[in-house]
Amino acid sequence: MTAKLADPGALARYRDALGDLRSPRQEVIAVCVGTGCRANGAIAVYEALRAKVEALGAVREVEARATGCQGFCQGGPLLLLVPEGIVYEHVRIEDVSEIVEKTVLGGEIVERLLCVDSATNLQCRRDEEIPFYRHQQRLLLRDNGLLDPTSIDDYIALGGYSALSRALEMGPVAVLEEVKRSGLRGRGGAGFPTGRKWEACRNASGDLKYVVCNADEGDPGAFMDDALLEGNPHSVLEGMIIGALAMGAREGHVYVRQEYPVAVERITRAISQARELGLLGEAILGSELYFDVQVSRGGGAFVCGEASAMMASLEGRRGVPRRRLIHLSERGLWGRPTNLNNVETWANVPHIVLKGSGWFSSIGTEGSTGTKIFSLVGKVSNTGLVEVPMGTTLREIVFGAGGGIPDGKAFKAVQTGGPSGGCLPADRLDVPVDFDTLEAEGSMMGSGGMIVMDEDTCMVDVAKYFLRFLASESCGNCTSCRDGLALLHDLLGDITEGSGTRQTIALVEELADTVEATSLCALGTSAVNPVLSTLRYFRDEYLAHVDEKRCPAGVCKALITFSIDAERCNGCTLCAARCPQDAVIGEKKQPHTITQGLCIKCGICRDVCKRDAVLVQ
Amino acid sequence: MNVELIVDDVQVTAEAGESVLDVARHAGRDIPALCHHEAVPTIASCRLCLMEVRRPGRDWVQLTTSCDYPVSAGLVVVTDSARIRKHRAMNLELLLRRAPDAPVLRQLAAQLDVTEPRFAPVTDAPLPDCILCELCVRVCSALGYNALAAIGRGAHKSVGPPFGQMEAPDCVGCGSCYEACPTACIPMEDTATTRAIWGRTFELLACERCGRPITTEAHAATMAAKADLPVKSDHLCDVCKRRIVSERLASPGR
Ligand SMILES: Cc1cc2nc3c(=O)[nH]c(=O)nc-3n(C[C@H](O)[C@H](O)[C@H](O)COP(=O)(O)O)c2cc1C
Ligand code: SF4
Ligand code: SF4
Ligand code: SF4
Ligand code: SF4
Ligand code: SF4
Ligand code: FES
Ligand code: FES
Repeated sequence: MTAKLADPGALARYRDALGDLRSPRQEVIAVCVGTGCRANGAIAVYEALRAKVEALGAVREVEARATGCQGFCQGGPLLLLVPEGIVYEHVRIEDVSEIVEKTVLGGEIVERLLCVDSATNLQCRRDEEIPFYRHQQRLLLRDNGLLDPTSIDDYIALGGYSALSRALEMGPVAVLEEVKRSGLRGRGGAGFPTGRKWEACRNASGDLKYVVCNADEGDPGAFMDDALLEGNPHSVLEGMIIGALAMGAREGHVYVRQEYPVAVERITRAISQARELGLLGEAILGSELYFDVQVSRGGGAFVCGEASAMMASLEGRRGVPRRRLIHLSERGLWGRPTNLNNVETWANVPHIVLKGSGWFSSIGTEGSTGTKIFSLVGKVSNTGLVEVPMGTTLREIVFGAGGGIPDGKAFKAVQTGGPSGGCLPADRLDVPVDFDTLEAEGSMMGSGGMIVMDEDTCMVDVAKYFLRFLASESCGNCTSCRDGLALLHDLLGDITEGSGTRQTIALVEELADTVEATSLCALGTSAVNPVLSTLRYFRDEYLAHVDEKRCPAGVCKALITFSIDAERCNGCTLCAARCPQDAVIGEKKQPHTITQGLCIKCGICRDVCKRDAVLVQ
Repeated sequence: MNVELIVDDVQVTAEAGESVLDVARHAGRDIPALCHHEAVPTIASCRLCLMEVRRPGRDWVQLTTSCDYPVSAGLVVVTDSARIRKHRAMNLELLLRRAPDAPVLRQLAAQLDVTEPRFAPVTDAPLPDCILCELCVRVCSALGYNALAAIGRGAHKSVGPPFGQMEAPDCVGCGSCYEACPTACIPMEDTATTRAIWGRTFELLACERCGRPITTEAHAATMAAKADLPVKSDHLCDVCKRRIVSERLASPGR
């Protein structure tokens, strides 16, 4: 067992000793084994690569390293060659020998594995040339590509825990002031100023205080917290230790979503490594600070990410929100002062302490400082995690890093903030993404989900989809949320099925108003955002559904018919062969027709037709 | 500690920490509130007890449920307004889908001018007429039996024996949940000698004097155990107890 580090000096010496082992010139092939790449077979690639590299033995000292998510999940399995910064995408086991022989031994690039900049059609050799990365400022995520998340030494070698040393030197009050001055706002949804929250907890009376890390991440499609916890668990832990110092907390909890077993394993391992080195527990780095952390598995419901529901769940009760009359900072977990922050919020803390609040607040906008990680998904060329300064426009994110809409389709909307965010149209693409602007536009920052939709999306259908999710995740406490959301979903169903009228729309608005105004927690009050924002920006589309019984995007089955354009159809018979209903009839080389009575509107004929002859109206 | 606040333009004195609902009711206001009971923890589920409050020093008025909002000095409370009525009425409409004929809801509907139903009624609830206020659960747990639980999420939430069991193993048949239920939707059937509730059937204990059932034997046994008394102590119904007292008072040899 390693000896505990007796003081900050010992940590510095420990780091220096590692420096010899881990020189920045050390050649490393970093294979992403984050959630996305794992799903595409990255583990097998990593293992093949490791075997190959080990077989090189003394010929060449190269390290194969499995890392957390490097952000560009679209390109997974992803491979980063350090120090050159070469990125290979879609790497398969078959490519491994070639990579080792050509690139590692021969210094030659395997061109077919490089990413192509779709705007210029040029191959990108290095990470900074890739449009996806070029538009980012990866303050929190950069190290994900560099370190082995199971090794505390890797983290320390890259400068890890020096922020803790610095914080101990500064003392709690100065640390608190620094966090306050940085303007950091919570990344978990509400954007509450972190420093103010910390101060309230620090000033609350009580010997036993808790800090809690919210890693419940229930937004479907969002995975920034997973990526941080899996890819750089010590950065989150270091943030929590610094927070404990500032607030005088003795115990910490990391509440991890049920579905994140790897994140649980990584943070659990990180905690025991930190304990061994004396970075957790009694007399941290020789100081008077005592702090220790436990990991808890989430209750498995979206609503358990809400602060009061989480406290109930941590205490072993049913995870249901309750009104907080007294702030958590005064009476939280087991009635004691508690400070809850999101994973990403905690991960920002070491940077602020180390580089100063002035530096931090120079990034982003005045009201929203620093960077924000977005989980960019949907109809966008590059999906993955995008970290940009606050205040970056939606356009830069969707069309810059995201590379625009694939298949030559037009952009229609982007939903920010997760399932209860609003959908913003093309004429809002130039709004800066920060807490206050998004809110003013009828959406929200939320935890950073971003779903891009193209012209083939029906906005009524989208609103219905999110309501379905939210209605089923409502804890069921409040009449307004429990029954209001279910009914809103049904009313939108009437509209998409063609039985809606203008009165239906009016009733939707009236009901949404009450759900928003009278529900207990933010799940209920924000759940109407998808409906209200689509009614605000895409009202015409609702009206087409109710007035003309028409779905302009061609999505709502009850309102569309499929037909074949006789001019375009060359009678290739492809659609007839694929139609599950045998609804397409016609002679070979003659225009085909669709028997409406048989057609179930599955859209297969349209998808298979190479001549765009299938019309949807 | 007492605080002064204003309820509908009238200054009132209340104890700090009391709920705005209780204070407004004491001040004579008639507030719809279906899930509140002073003796059990508040969950604020019905969303009918809405009021508008303004805290001193703030220039904005907040619409809030009042059962879970504590009074504080200088608070300005409005118990009725167009906005309040509008939202109360909508939440009532939502509850009426679950219990269209419950007298307590019908009466509120008349007060709030809710007439024609605009939403289809709920027909698949496991416990018809239940409005999911959890008063039964909370009363039972306050009595220490913990025989009931809320289960499920969203519109599929229900109340009943824990884990969706058919019967409540910890129930003693005291009937308190039945008494507390605002819509009287809990099936409880008493015969001369038995009581059936939550899938269980209990023997009833008869009053030693008049023979009327007092409560279930299981309930009497737990009460006696709690009070550390032999089970067969004083099996008299309330009426007979009162009668005995007055008889003693009236007896000349006293
Ligand atoms: C329904 C609901 C779900 C939430 N889920 C999460 C979550 O998964 N992760 C998170 O950090 N915050 C979540 N929040 C926000 C938390 O309540 C809380 O505001 C946040 O964790 C505070 O941390 P911050 O100040 O660092 O943002 C959720 C809120 C609601 C209403
Ligand atoms: S608003 Fe919805 S999720 Fe929140 S407490 Fe009420 S019912 Fe539960
Ligand atoms: S939409 Fe589907 S069912 Fe209808 S004609 Fe085309 S393939 Fe056949
Ligand atoms: S696939 Fe297109 S071109 Fe071929 S028969 Fe069908 S509609 Fe005509
Ligand atoms: S009757 Fe049973 S369930 Fe009802 S309060 Fe009494 S013990 Fe609880
Ligand atoms: S059974 Fe009665 S008391 Fe229990 S939740 Fe339903 S309505 Fe409320
Ligand atoms: S999981 Fe590999 S880049 Fe995201
Ligand atoms: S009495 Fe307040 S919400 Fe039901």
